[in-house]
Amino acid sequence: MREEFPFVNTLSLEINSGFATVFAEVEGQKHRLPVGLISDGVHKLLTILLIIATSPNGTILIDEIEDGFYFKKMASTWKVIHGFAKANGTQIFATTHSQECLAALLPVLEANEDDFALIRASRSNGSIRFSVNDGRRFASALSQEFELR
Amino acid sequence: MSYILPHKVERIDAPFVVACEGFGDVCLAEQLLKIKRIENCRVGCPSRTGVGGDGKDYLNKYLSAIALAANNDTVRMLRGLLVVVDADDSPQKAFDIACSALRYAEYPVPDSAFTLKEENGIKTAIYLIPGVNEPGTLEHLLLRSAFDKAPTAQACVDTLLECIGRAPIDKPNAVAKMKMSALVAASFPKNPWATPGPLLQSSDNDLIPLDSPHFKHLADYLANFCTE
Repeated sequence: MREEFPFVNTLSLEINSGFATVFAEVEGQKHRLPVGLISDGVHKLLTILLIIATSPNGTILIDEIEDGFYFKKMASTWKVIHGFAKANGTQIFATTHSQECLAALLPVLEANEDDFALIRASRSNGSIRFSVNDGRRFASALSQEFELR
Repeated sequence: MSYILPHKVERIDAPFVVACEGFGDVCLAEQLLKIKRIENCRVGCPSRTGVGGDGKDYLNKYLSAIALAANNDTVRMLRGLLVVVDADDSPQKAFDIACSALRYAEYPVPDSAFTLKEENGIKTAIYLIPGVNEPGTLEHLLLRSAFDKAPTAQACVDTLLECIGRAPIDKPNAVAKMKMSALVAASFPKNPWATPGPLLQSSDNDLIPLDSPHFKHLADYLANFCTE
C-alpha cells in the first residue's frame, strides 16, 4: 500500500459504530481516518490486496477493475496488483471497458507476457463467444492501438 | 472499399489483409486496389506512436495484433495476409525480417519472396518493393513513375542534389528519399511538406501516375492475391 500511496503510514483494524473498519494514519492528519474516506483508490486497492492475501493460490474476480483509481495511478496500480498476485500464486480475472485502463497495463504486460491473457467476450446470434489470446498477442495489440474492448 | 488499419479495429471484416511497412506503402496499395476495383482487402501498417525506429521493427507486433483481431471473429474471415516491405539494401535481409514477423504472429512463413504459403486455411506472401531481386524502396518505384512522366524533372532534381552536395552517394535509398522529397516540395504548393502517402491519396496528384507500368507488377500481384 505504501508503495502506491506513500502518504498512508499505518493501517489498523478498529471498531467503528459496531463494525470492524480499517483505519489509516495519513500524513498531515491528526486523527486516523477510515480508509474509505481517504480515497476510493486507496480503499479499492486495499480491498484487492487483502483479498489476494487471504486467497493464496486462489482465484479472484474483479469487475470493472479501473473503477475508483486515479488514471495517472493506473499503471503503477497494475504493477502492484500483478506483483502481489504473483507472489501469492493468485489468479485474477479482471473485467474492464476502459481502453485507458488497458493502455496503462502495457508496461507490466510487456515485461510479463506469460502471466497474462486476454479473454474477449462477444455476443453473436443470442449466444456469447469467448476468444482467448495469449499475453504476446495481447501486448502486441495494445502497443499497436487496436480496439480491444 | 478498403480502409487503413489500425483504425481502432476490433475485428477483421475482409478476407484479405495487406500489412505494409509504412504509410506510403499503404497509400500506394490502397490506390492500386481502388484502380483494380478490389473491395475484399484491408491495408495497414504498424503504429509507431511515441516510438522511433523503422517500420519493419514493428511488423511482428502489428501482425500479432492482426492475429488477435482475426481471432475475435465469430466467423473465420481472414483468408490471406500479404506483407509488403521495402527491400532496402538487401532483399534477402528484408525477406528474413518479414518472415520473422510472420513467425512471431504464428502465421505460415513463405519459402521465398513473392511465393504463396498456405496452411490451415490462411495464405501468406511477402512482396518486396521495388520488385523482384531488386534492392531499393518505395521511393525508387515512385521516382521511376514520376520521371517517366516528366523526364526533365529528373535532371533538375539530380542537379539540385549535386549543387547542395549533401547526398550520400553510397546510400542510394537515402538519395531516393531526398529526391522524392525535393520533387514533391517543388510540385505541391498546397502541401510542400507532403510525403509520398498524402501525395498518392491527393486528388491533385498529377506527379505520380498510378497507371504507370512500374506499378503493374504490384497491382497484378495484389489482384491475384485477393482472389478467393
